[in-house]
Amino acid sequence: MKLIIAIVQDQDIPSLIDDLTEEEFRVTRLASTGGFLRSGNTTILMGVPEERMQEALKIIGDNCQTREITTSLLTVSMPGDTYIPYPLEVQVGGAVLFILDIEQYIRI
Amino acid sequence: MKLVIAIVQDDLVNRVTRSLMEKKHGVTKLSSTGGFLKTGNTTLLIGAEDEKTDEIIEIIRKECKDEGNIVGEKGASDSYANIFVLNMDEFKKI
Repeated sequence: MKLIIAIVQDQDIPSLIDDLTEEEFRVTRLASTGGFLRSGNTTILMGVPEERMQEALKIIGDNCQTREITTSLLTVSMPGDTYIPYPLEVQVGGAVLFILDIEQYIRI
Repeated sequence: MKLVIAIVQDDLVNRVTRSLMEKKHGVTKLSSTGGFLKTGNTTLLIGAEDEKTDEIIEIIRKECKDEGNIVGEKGASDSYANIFVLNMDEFKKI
């Protein structure tokens, strides 16, 4: 059995948790903060039997892929001027996974 | 050295941490949320020597099932505690 500790961006969490619970994976979520950008993210703990590892990794991959999204940066040049949306390519998503061996798993 | 990660129902946490402390086991509490039913629970991190691991598990088991009368109602999720025991390479107390 493996323990997956996944550090995931907050905006990917809802879809990820739904997909995981649909496939009967049990997940525990911890609120955490990124060290580098000090942005909030979420750490999830998952006990996964060996034979289901590929499935779990695929679900996590599908939901947390690093991807480009276009957001707009509203720029106001002069007062009374209209907001001019300025398209901006921003990279979001991405997950860090620590996978450890579980020696014992006990459920009470 | 082992790292014991115990995910415990909120209403049992104080009992569990108190009896662990009595036996001189250091406990770190992290507040966490269950994925399935999105109920709040608590994740405990406990460093333990190899031979102490069983004692810790027994303490948690005893606190969850206090002599027959069920302490915290099982509530929505069907387990009081989930415990993962992992091997720890090094343990440092500075």
